[in-house]
Amino acid sequence: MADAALQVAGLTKSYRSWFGSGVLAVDDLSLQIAPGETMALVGPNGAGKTTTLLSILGLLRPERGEVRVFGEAAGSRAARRRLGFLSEIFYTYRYRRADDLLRFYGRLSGMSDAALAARVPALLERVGLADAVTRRVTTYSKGMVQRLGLAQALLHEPDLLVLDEPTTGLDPEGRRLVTDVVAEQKKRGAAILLSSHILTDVERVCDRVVILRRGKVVLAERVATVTATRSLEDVYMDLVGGSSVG
Amino acid sequence: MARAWIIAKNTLLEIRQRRLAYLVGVLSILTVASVWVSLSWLERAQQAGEVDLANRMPRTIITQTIDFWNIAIELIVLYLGVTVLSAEIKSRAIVPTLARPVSRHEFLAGKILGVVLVAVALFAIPLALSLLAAWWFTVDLSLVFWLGLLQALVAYIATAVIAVALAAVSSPMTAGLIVIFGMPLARDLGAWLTKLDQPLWATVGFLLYCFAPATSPHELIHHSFDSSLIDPAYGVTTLVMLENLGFAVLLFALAAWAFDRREIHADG
Repeated sequence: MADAALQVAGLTKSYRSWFGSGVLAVDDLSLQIAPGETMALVGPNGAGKTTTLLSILGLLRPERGEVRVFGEAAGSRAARRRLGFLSEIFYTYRYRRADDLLRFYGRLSGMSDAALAARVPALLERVGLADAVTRRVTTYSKGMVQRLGLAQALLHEPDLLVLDEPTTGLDPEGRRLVTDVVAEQKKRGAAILLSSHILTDVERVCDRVVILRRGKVVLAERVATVTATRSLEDVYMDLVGGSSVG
Repeated sequence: MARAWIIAKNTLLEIRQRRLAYLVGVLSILTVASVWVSLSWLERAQQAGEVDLANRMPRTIITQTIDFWNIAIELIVLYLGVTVLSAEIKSRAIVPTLARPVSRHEFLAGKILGVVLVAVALFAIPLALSLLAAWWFTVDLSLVFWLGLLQALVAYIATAVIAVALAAVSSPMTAGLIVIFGMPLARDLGAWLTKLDQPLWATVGFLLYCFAPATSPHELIHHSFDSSLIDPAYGVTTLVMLENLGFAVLLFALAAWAFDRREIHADG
């Protein structure tokens, strides 16, 4: 599919120690997302969600398979230019101010100073950090840091948004912010891959859901189809209940 | 290289968080104290009518001040070089940065540039003190002195590149041990083997010698007022500087290639 926002084909990745046996983190995973589509990646801890997302970023190298972002190899400069990422916890340079930090990430994405001057205050306003712009990130609460992480992921208006459990550490208002932002980005035409444990959020904002268990896809279906007769949580528990490793 | 410059500026901010200013403050106090003591000796030498000694002492004060800072800055550059990258990997702050369209070699170059800029900024302190002293005592700084400054700068660049490059593919501890012990050992062993009259050992010696940066026959600043000693070594010193810059470039290319293949995990 040439016009897919994200195409993962036969992704296989295991972690091996120097002497011990390996752990198969992702086993022959295939998925694709079209522009404007929102896909949820769910599964218990250790199911291979983060490994999949880091492979999409090009930070991990698959043993087998291929990952392409808008037709470009994962990890290539062209692929990363069109990608926005937020991890479970937004690890960043906490000694910097919020606005300063966003300008740093924006410049790395090739944004001009003029574009950043307009975009940064608007984004900080959008994520509810307008009053904390001049504070160093080290003084932020966990939820504020995550909101800032969401702002950096949206900064360059990416065509593919990869969110790894983005609501971790957020209060109900923060969780609502994330789901609202996902809906806005979807409306804008961005493709979104959302890894989450909050299945009600998945039901609310995602078009399709992929459930992983021990690195393998056990369900890949439209959310509306899955939830036609039962809740997503019931389906999830039937498929992966009791397989959490973390 | 615009992105490398952005990373370099961020590296400067990161290094500033490490309270390096306290260490610089202690070094400055030590410098001022030693200059103060030297000046009192100078006064005594003048009172005792030791004209020759009194004439040489300001030069000694200048060269020893720079020598002292030179060693301190080399150690600081080594420490920063081996830790600046691993700290970022350990804190996982590297993940959102490398999720941006910045290449690994730009990232490494930025880290190295940041460390070199810190070294240059630190070196400005003894340089300013020395220039002040030279002006105060009307000491004519020779061409060798300025060449010596270039030699020091090349040494900082080489150390920064070597330290960051090794830390890109190993732990900070391993990188530090290689720089402090491994490289000098390889160089000395290599030099000894090349003297053996056997082609095989000579080849092994040459390869070992290539594993480490070359050493200059003279520390130019230290000997900058003894031109009779230095003059014949100009060419060799320049060659050593060029060789070490080339060594740094080669090592950077190798490290960038290896770092490009290194996986970055979410758990640091």
